[in-house]
Amino acid sequence: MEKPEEQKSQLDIELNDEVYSAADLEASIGSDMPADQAEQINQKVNEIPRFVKDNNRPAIGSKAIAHHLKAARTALANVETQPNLAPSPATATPVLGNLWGRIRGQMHELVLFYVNRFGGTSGRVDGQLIEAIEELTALVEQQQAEIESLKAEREKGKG
Amino acid sequence: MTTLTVHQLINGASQRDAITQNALLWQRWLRGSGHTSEIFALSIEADCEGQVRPWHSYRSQADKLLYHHSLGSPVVADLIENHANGLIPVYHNVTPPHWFAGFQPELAQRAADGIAQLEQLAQAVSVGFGDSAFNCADMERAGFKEAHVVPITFDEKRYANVTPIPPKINANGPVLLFTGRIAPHKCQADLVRLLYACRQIEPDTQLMLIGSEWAKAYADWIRYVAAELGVTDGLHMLGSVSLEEMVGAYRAADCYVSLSEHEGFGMPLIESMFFDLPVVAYRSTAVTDTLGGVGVTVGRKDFAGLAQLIIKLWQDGAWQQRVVAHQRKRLHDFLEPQVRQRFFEVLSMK
Repeated sequence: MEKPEEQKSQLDIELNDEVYSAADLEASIGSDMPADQAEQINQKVNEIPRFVKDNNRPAIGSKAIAHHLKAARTALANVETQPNLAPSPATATPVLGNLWGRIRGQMHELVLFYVNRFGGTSGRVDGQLIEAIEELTALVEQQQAEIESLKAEREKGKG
Repeated sequence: MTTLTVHQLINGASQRDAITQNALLWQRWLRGSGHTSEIFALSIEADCEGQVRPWHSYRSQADKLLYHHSLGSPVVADLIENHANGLIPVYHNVTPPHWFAGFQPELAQRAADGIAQLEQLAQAVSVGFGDSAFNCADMERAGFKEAHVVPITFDEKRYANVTPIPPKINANGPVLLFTGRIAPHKCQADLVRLLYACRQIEPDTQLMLIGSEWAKAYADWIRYVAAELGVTDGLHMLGSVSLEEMVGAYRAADCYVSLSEHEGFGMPLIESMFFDLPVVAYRSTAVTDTLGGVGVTVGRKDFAGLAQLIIKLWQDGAWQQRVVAHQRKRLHDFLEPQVRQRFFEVLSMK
């Protein structure tokens, strides 16, 4: 089987040590992990942009907003609407326990009817708000891109 | 011995502020040597009342007035206009405004003002002090003819009777630590990337971040990066902690890691030396000067390579011992006797 290519470290190490030199460490690091694994790791962590970009603008924008919106959508989809009727000592009582269990179930259903009605409306409102924020985010991104291109044109004009 | 009147001016006085602590220590040295010394400030918090006087009450013509400068201050014009004689700016560095421009424009403006004022000060006076060679280089670029390094003093006594409170972290893998306010130039998000890379080798690696959530948007960003990389369970954002908790964190950690891209001095590097915690740091700004050749430094952020380096250091006890021994020697340069001597040497220079 072909041996994976060794990873050449890019660390530019400096240290003051009686045993290891920087070159020893660079070489050892290069041989401790296959090149493809190191590349995968670096690719994965560098997919996420830096907070402050080189052009002095924070990178926090659509990606972070998208993260919050994703979390909001997940939360919305997981709203609990089922009755939580765990057995209790009272429901275990012979005859009366069974009756109590049925009354308890009906009471929960009644409460849930109103809660679900309210929750449904509230959820639709939240959903609409999320849609609106997503639209706005897209719009801001688009406008930002236009601003950047106009700025670039202006700079070119100055030059 | 000639006794002098050496006053100091700081922008804001607070017991929690490192510049205030530094000014109080210098005042103690000056008074201990028979000089007259007072501290003045533009704003004074309750915990400094009685120790610091308001700037508007300043009437003295001091032999020397040490002005501690960082962000833009309304006092600079007055200093240049009315107090240039004997004025010695002490520069504690300004984080470049681009780190805040997009989300904290007011702070970005104050930073820009601070940098511009350093140049104005250089036109009025020729000599200044800086707390690192990096800061002194900034001063020389701004136009100062002479800039002398007087490092921040590491006060060992502060930690003498502290009972550490260990962090609530159960880890079988390496525990990494970084201390510093949560701010984009400190690059804590890069430490989260490093945490992910370390976990590909040692899945139980943990990262502790100590520091107030000074830039809330950036703190949210760090959590976002952790969530995206699936390492939220290994990230411990401890916030602003007590001294006992801070000592506990230093004791619990295996390695102090800094990927910060802007440090005016880097006191946590010295604290790590004191707590015998091996340091791995990205070489930037004053980090290189403060470490002075000890610890392990890198010039590039290759996260996979950095993870291997840190895991190797964690596994190699003998190497850790050697790193810590060098760091211990370096620590001496920041202890009170050495810095005090240096302070009086540069103060007596013309």
